[in-house]
Amino acid sequence: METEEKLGVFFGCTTAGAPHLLKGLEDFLSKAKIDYVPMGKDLCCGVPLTLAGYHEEAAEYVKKVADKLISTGITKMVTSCPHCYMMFKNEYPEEFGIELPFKVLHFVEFADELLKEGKIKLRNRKDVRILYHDPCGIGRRGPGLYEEPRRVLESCVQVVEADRNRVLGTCCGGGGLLRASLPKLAVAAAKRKIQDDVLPKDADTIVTSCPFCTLNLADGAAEIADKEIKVFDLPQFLAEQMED
Amino acid sequence: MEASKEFNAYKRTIYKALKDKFLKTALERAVKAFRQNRDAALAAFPEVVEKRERLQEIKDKVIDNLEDYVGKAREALEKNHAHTYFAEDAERANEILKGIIGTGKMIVKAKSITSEELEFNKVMTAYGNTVYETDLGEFIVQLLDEKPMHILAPAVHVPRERVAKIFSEVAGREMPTDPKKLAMFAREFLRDKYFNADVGFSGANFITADTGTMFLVENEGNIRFVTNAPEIHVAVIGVEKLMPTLSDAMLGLEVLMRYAGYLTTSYVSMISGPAKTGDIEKVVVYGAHGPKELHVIFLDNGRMKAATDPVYRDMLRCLRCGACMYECPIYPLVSGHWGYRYMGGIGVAWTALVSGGLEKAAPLAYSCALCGRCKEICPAGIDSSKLIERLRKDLKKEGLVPEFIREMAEMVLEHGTPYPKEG
Repeated sequence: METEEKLGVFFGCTTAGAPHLLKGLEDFLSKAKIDYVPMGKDLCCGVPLTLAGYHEEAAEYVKKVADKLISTGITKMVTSCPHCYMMFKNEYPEEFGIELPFKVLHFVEFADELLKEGKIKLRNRKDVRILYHDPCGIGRRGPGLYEEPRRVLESCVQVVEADRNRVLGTCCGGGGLLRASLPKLAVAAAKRKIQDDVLPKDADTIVTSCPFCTLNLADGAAEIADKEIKVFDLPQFLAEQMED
Repeated sequence: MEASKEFNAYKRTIYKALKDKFLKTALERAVKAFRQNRDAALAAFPEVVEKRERLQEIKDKVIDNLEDYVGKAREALEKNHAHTYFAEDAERANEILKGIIGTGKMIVKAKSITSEELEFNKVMTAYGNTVYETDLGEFIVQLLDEKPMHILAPAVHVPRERVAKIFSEVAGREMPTDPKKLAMFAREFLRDKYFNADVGFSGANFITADTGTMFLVENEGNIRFVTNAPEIHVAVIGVEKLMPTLSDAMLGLEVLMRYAGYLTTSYVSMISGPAKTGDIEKVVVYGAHGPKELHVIFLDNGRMKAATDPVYRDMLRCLRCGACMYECPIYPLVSGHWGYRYMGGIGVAWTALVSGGLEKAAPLAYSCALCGRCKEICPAGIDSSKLIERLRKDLKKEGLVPEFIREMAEMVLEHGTPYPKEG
């Protein structure tokens, strides 16, 4: 007998802490009529610890997180944060020896599946041009989830590519604790990225798949005076393209 | 506490650099030119992409057997009538150099980031010698009394207007901002120095274990003078520059040139011993036209230890092509301010293990966004993000973590979130 699927959605502290990102993901899930167990709104996956070199302290911490997640009985977990995703998918088993008894998906994989199965309907708005920004976490530092988000986006809007994309895409500067250590440097990197990648393509909307990239690019965009650039996290953007 | 003070001082430097319009202009020009050149070089020689894999294997073989290769290279060089030395650290290298060079001497110098580890100019000047940097970029940096800001292009941060200003001071007359005229001034100024110098000092890009041949790669032609005109040539070479054979070094040369953005460089000098002649009755006389003496100092300075570490060892593959810095999302914003003697992401590891130590590396270790693009474009496949993640572990162990990192980690451990609760 096949066990029934029970889906968990791990929001992660960065998405949970940014009202517009949180609302975007919740709206998406509700419009897509997804049943899920919400998790990770008040529970950090532990990635700041490993990024800070606190591996010894993290060992005990991640064990507690894993126990909590496992106790919900979920069979599949989706997160929209590449940091949480890589933490659960790679660090938990490889660094801490914890095998999670459920499948971990990034939101781009999840949305791609839903679209293929015809479970979400997106408005056709091919007059809208967006530039997709590849987050490093699910790209070159992860499993290379480049085509999933593009398939989803291309089904509803026109996707413009930066000259350097996918494995050579330019980082927004928002990762690796840089936004915590030198926020102005992180934002300067985002601003430079927008000037180099986005402005020459005459795009005014960036869509990405990472709460850190979304926040950092938005901060960088705010520093560009002569053009308004809008930045969306993928769940948030898709929620807007879905019928109510 | 100390770690936080260091970090805050560093943060001020970085934030000041972010506002520097000169720096921004100069680096934007440099990055754009580099990308065009490198893309053209790789398009013209596409096979270099495969060659870099072979190079990585060779480099790894050397890193696994550094001691053996040093021994072999020394043997080969001695056979060629060169003098060889091994310096375990910078201090020992400087003692050896003082012994060879002495005091009251004039030294012409080729660009060498390895010499920065020794603080060569400072040490030799204090010992009563005069040092002239001859690479145009280094010459500018020396006149400005600043530090090199890029390994290949030390004056990458200096726009032409500043060069004209400092050259005007040296010339005692107004110099135009035309790069051609500025380069010609440096040429005239340095010309007689080569022939009056007692010692020529250089590093090397590669040195072979089978023949003891050092490869010096350049475009300006200054290295030819430095290593050829004075009676004594002294080279300080990091042990990671060793290559097993001449043909291995040729492969390395091709990869280095293309990834550094050159179809070819104007010059490659291969030097294996002092100048000699046997033209009169087959009696060998040293110092025919070139140097009478060649001294080669192999420098360890932390490299041998790094070689034994499963993560850090990869940093020794570095060819110093500089590609990672141009392609980094962070380095072009602040240049060598993100660095000590070695710069950028790869420079953080070199600072920690070779030149500076953990204390100097600590503030630099949190400026990397860990994006990993450097690994994709590095000819040696070095993953600087991995090196930095490993370093952060060591900094934690040694209690060198800046306060904001400590606070964030404690928040996670105690409250399950890195973000302070509102209110």
